[in-house]
Amino acid sequence: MNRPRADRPRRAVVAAALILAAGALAGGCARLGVQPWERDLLSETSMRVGGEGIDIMIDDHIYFSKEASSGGRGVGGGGCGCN
Amino acid sequence: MRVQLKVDPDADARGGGTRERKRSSSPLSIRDGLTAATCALIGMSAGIARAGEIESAVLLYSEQDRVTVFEGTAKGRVPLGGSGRAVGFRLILDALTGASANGAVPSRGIQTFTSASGRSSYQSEARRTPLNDTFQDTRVAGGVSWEQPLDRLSKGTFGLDLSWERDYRSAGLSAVFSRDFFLRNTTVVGGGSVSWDQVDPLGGAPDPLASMPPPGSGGGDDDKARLEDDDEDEGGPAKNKTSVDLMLGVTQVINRSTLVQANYTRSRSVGYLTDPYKLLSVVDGTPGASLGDPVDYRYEKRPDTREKQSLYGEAKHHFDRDIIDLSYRYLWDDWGITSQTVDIRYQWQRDGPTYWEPHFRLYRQTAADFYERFFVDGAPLPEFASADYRLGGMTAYTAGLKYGWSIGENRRAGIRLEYYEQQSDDPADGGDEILPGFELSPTVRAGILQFDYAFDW
Repeated sequence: MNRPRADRPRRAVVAAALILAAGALAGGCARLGVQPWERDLLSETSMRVGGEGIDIMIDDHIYFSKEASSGGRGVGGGGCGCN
Repeated sequence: MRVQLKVDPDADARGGGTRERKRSSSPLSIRDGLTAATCALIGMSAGIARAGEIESAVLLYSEQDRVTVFEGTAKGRVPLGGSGRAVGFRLILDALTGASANGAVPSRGIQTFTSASGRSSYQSEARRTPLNDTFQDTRVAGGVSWEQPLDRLSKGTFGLDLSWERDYRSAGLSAVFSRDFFLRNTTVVGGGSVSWDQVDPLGGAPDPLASMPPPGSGGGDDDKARLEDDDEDEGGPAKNKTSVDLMLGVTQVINRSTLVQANYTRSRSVGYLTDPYKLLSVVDGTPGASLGDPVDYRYEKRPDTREKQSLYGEAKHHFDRDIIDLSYRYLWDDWGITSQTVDIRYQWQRDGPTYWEPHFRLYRQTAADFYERFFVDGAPLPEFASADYRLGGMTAYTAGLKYGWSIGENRRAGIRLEYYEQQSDDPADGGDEILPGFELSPTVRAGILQFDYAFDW
């Protein structure tokens, strides 16, 4: 299934997003953030990203079964033949 | 810097890290400040200063007139001493009963459907969306992971996932690497996974776009012919699928209260991507009394590759008491599906160790290029076709509320109730002329009730 018409602008969007992200990383990120002793709020369980809680894990599985989209937060996890 | 230091009389009893303990005193205690600073210095990732944790939940998911799922799940992370290494695990048990839309359209009369082998059959009521009520399955899934520091600022997480159902098996490997920059305020994450899935439908996988065997034909010539006709690359009744996922992400601490994350993921699946249980009705298109009556049923056929990509962004902000979590995902694939998802959770902290958490989610997707609600008799068959409502254009929303509370120093529990509704963007689905008056894509409604319990140390 080739969809060159639709894919071209999307590729441009992705490329632009990656370039912007890289630029932000190199330039802006160095000036953002906190000192180590200012991490009291960020260290709370509810503020974590990347290692999601059980609610997110359950929700992702439900929506994987009922919709045509999945993923985005990370990689891995078991497949299923959900109906 | 707006940080108040005060001596906390309970500080010695704390291990540091849980939400409720810290939320109860918004000014920063010496112990908490030192804990956060130490964690940041010794190698924990931005915003994640926690020790061991085990979470568990039981869930009831029930659709109106359709599927009911009872699920028990547990996940955890166990640090191995002070080495920075940790073991993670997850376990899921699903029991599924009820009915699922089989793809056929409703009719004026009762319809009878057979399984791929013809050994069993089920009927649908007149004028109602045909549902296959023979589903009764159990799923056992589990995974383990290993976190390994690579140097002071980097770590790798390596995972193995397995899933087993009566007619579906999956095994996957994953590796994710992260590195912190700028006083650990920036974390770059990159990784990939590969999974091997096998579909082994009861009675064998039907030939794509072949006619459904008539009721009572179980194990007969049709099955033999189908087996003999199998292409070599289809390899008999069990079908295989391989998926490779890649991701690149950045997490950035903005200030003491805010952090953001952005991910790009790309996924490619190759192999048997068809649903062996889904059908398409072939209806009579001749004007007259029999207009719209079913003449035949054909199995669906999807392309054998799918490549999808997504951009995902998430922001979390701490209001000193409450926390808001906003996320957005834009996803597109080469099947013509584009989707957008917005998810909002607001943790509203009450006095004492309790909180309310409203949750709202909005999801929209466009239909796959090969999505067809039905075939008209006599028209040429397309290369690919599916009437699976999950590949149609839709809008879905979730509205939910969770109540959470802590039990003592290091345990917490919650109860969550949610409502999920899925509406087709085109309920008539092109059936205005041939199937007037029928609801071809009815709204799907589901309720979710969850109880969870967790403890950490």
